[in-house]
Amino acid sequence: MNITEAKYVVDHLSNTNQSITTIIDGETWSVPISEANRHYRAILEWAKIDGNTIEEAD
Amino acid sequence: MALSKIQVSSMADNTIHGRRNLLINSSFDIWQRGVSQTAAGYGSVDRFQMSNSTSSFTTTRQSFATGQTDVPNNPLYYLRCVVSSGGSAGNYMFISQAIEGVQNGAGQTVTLSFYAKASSALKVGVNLQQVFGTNGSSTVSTNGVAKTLSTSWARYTVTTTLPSISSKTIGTDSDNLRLLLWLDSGSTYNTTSGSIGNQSGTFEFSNIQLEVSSVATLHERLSLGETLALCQRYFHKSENTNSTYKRYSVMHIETTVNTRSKYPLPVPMRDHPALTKTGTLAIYNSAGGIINLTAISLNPVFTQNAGLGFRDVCIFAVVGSGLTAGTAGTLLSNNAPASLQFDAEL
Repeated sequence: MNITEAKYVVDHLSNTNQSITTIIDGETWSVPISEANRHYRAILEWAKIDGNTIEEAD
Repeated sequence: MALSKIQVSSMADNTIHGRRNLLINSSFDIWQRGVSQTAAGYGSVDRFQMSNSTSSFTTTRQSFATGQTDVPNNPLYYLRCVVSSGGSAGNYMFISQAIEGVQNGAGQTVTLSFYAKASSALKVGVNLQQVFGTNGSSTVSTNGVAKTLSTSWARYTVTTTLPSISSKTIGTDSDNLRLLLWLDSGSTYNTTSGSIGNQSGTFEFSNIQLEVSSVATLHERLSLGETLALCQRYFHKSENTNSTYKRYSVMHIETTVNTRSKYPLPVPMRDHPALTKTGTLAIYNSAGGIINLTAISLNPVFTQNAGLGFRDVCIFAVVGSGLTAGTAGTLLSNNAPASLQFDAEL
């Protein structure tokens, strides 16, 4: 997976991070914060690389 | 009548019962994502993943001629993969399927069978891997076994015994038994690929089966409905291919920009799925009319875990402005083709 950006999405009712919006291979995905999800595992691996960060929500 | 007169052989039930094939979509019936693929990953045929390094490939769905007898059981489709090798030690291309649960076949004899043909006497390397998942033991891989294909349809079998997992740690999630069919492999991967080497050409596959057995039995053919339901545990696509207003879900409008709706999945999915969309989606609200989305995401906070999978998801759809809080609306395609795609593949 070629990940180019990732950003948390906050639930406006609970004010907690609910998911990550990311661009993978040019497509926008909403990814659950769950290690059982392969997209989330890929984001974690991507975030280990220097310069890559999951941005906080607006 | 004396017991000795009872003919035991005439009473024997030789039917093979139960679901034997560990693979899903083994006749290549279901192609929810599309009918061709040139990039690595899940991109065409359900449950099968394409992987490559430098070597390029094109995977397509092909139709059998009605009534053909080269491959039994009248499958509708077969998989064609055209490979162009990068030609170096580190180059490869393989097709794989991850079977949920590393316990499958562990410590037992398993047999893979498949129908195949190739553009010349190309080799296929068969390799099984026990993947123990997140924070689990390291992956255990069988040595690859090479089969040389004919240019006509023929059935090939590989029988092997999988290692026991008695001393292993199964991780918190995503453990699986993974079947790999190597179509091209540089020398770096000789052990797992069966030393098939770098090769280019056309490979075609049909009726593939992996079973706990020391022999290959008749290929198990499931109905389209059964196969689709099995595939949808891992991937579901709700698509509108026409320029219409397809309704996806009914929503509660919480603010002038935020909405929340429950989307029932056709079968429980393996885990929280990831979501992507194609085309233009919008919200219809009687007060504001049709307003295109600016963002869409899943809200796992409100997702129900039924214990064996997720029966529904909560979609959090956002627009720029114009909604009326406290009213209802619908999520729909805005007079153009669109889709929602949910992915919980291993």
